[in-house]
Amino acid sequence: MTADVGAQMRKGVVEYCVLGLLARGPMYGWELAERLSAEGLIASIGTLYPLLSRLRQSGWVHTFERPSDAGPVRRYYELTDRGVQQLAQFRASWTPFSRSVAGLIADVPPAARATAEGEA
Amino acid sequence: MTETEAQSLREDYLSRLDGAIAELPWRVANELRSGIAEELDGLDAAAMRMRIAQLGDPVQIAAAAKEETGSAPPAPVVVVTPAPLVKPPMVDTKWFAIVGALVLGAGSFLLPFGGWIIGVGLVTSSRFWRRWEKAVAILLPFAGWAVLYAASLVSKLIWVAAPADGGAINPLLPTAYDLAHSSLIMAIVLVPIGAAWLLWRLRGRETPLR
Repeated sequence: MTADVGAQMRKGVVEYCVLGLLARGPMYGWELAERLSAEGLIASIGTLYPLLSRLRQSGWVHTFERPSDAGPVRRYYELTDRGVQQLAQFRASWTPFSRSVAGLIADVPPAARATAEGEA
Repeated sequence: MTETEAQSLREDYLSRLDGAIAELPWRVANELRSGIAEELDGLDAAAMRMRIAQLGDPVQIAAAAKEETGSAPPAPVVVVTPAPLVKPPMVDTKWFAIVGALVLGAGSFLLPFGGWIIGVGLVTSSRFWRRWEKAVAILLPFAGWAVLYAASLVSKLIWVAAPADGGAINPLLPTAYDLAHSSLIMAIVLVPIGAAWLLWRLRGRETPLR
């Protein structure tokens, strides 16, 4: 159950995390995978590409090819205007949402809990 | 030799990957395959081994992709619902207020007295003016009439009293009769003036006041 909660939370936000990373500049798949894996948001690069495919289909990102420093041509992902809009709207929703959740699940100090129980 | 070995490792890995992702939707499989293939381009054998180890087993990659493709709903679209376009009631439109003021000012010339009554109705229905503004515009003719009528009464008293005192009546001073009629004319003139003032007060107001 606990593991499912973590997985569900990641699924809900990981696409917007990708948008957030791409808002800093175009990135190629491996770069994205490394950043997201480091943050514990994806377990495998296999998770990333279906997600990128969806974002592309939604019109939130597009791709272009550019030679990398190492030589081979890489496919870079970049935010579209719609992607920028979606990210801005998500930011506006996320901040109050996360604040509310943090407030609701905040640990109650034992003294406060005892007082509340006493009053009840 | 190293280059050949690297090429061999690459082809072997991609071949296993192709087998593993065969059941994925073609769009996802294509994106995944090309993304991983480009990661394996231009590496020497040592770097190729390291990168293949980082990528992991193609079967596990395919399983993760399948799980993500099958289970993940599309990202919830954050929709900012625009405020519904509610057409305001007719009385709450500016043109209604303008028509009301025009009818108040000129209605009596088209339909004596009745036109003014209609204008009063329209102006009082509109919410583009404050109550005191409506009151000023509507009552202004009455106030003007009352002032002049009061003046005529005073004048009449003077006119009646004058012969008793034996003094002559100054023909240059208006008689009470003159002033009574003048008060009516003044009232009629003040009607459009009040309406014009209401129109002037409308400037800059695009929405009802309350």
